[in-house]
Amino acid sequence: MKRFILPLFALLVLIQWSVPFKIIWRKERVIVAGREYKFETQPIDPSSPFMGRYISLDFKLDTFTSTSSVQFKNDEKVYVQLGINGKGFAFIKSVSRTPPANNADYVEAILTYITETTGSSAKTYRFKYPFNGFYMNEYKAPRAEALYSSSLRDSSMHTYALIKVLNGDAAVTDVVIGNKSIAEWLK
Amino acid sequence: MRQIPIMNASFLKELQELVKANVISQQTADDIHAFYQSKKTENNSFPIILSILGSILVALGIILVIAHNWDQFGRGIKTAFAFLPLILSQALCFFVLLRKKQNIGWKESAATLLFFSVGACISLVSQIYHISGTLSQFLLTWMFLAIPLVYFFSSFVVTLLYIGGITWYACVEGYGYGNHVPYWYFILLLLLAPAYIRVLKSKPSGNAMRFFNWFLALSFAISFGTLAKSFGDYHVLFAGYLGLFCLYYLIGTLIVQQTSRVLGNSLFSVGLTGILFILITWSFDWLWESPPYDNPWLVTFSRPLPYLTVIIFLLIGYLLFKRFKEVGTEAADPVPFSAYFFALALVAFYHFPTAGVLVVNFWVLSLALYYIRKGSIRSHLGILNFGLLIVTILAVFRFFDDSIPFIWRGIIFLLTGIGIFAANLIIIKRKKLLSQKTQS
Repeated sequence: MKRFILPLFALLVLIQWSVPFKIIWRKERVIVAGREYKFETQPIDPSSPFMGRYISLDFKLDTFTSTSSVQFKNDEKVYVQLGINGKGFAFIKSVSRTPPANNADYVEAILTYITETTGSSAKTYRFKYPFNGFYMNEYKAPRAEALYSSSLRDSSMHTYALIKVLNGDAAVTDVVIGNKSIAEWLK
Repeated sequence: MRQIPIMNASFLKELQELVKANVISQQTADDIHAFYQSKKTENNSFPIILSILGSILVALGIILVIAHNWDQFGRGIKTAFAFLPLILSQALCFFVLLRKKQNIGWKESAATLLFFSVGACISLVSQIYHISGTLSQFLLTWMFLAIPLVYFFSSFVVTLLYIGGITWYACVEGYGYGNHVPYWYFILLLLLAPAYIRVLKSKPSGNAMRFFNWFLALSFAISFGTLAKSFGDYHVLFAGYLGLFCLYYLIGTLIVQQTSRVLGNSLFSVGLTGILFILITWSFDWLWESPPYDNPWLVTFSRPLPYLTVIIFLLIGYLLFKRFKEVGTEAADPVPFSAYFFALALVAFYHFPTAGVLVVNFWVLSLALYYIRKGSIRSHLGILNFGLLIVTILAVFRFFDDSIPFIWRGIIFLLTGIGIFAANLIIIKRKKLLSQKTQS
């Protein structure tokens, strides 16, 4: 057994590397080859004990109303097909249980709440994306929040996150306030 | 711990003098020397504790420094930094496996550093790519990557950190809004079984075993509630928990019989505390009169709790029967019957809350009397006062109970107080008498 310990430990080292490497490989692929979408958002700044401070990306694009007969359930994983509207922002084309065919761009999301409309077959679905945080330097995150609050008073300022999308995977690349990256604002 | 003479120069000189005077042979002197040398290494636990504490602090420091988020660096540099602690700890672990395999301090420190470095690396990479994910996913991945360290390094600290980590995972996944049964917790717990058996075989009464047992007993008790549907299964949950604590208590008593240690016996201590905590909680009228949910009898059969509760109740029955066959009714102990009593009381008095409150109070008082009687028979002040403590706690809680008239509350307090004085005096007198008899 003793002579196997070192090779086995070497195997453990490789496995321990594989998890972060897999994340890096997937996200780099999305960042390099993905299509960019602008998700309108309203940031606030919470913190995580392991990953530090981040701006919580509270997307405006988190509901979809549909008359579809598909019976979705809370907590269910859904595929959100995306499009780009006339103003250049992302909008939801459809929500489905299976990934859309025909090379359409989509992201995964978890259904969190379903609202039924009285007198209509339409249902409103609220969901949560797996990319709802933008990690920032601990001193800059609170300033980012203050910046956002002031930008809210100015209706000409749009706040959005740049999201790269490829084969259902997504990566947040930047948060933009009034056509300027948040990093630029905080310099 | 026994004091070991320090291997100083005078001690060695004494040994040589004894050899010269032909009191002991050179061989014996060498053996004595070797014996104390080995004792010295065995008991050298202080530097080990310090090095482990150092590793934990360094590792936590790395996580916090990383969490600062050095956004002036590009993605490439930040990623390299994310791997730096991981690679350094892994290199240290390789070194320990090659050169310091017998040194506990090195093994524990290296394994602890690597344990935290794995978590730090995943965190930082997630931070760099803004991956929100969930805390439960993160903890699950981390613990899966860390469990082999328990076996590679026989690391006691990583074992405890791992139990802490999987318990945290179970709580994040199993409690709160939109929770799920954390099935992985039980699988992760099972992965510890070989490590547990190894410690049990090598040092069954050592400190490692005791800590292991405490952590496991508490971890399972904390996670047990995740088997219920949150905000439901109200009565079954309490009955299930009481069953679990009675089972702990019964297994604990078997261990007590073998080792005759009570305080170091986690199952016994957690079991007894849990039983009394639940019973005293139900000695109030508010849980009986206004259950927090509309239908407390609703049982979610899609969750494992009801089935596990039945299994636990059957196990209690089996252990009680086994004990009855071994010792008969002589050492009859009402404590492990609490689960059955409570379940019956819930069924019988659900519509009669006053009666429910009364029988639970009566049961707690009976348990207290059991300990008082046991302490008195054995002339054991500890057991006797434990019984009296239960009565006191019950009395203190009833002090705030508006439904009992002042006069009755007053009498309860007077009787409890007088009882405590009288019982202690009697035992002390009896002990004095006994010692006088043995002296004469």
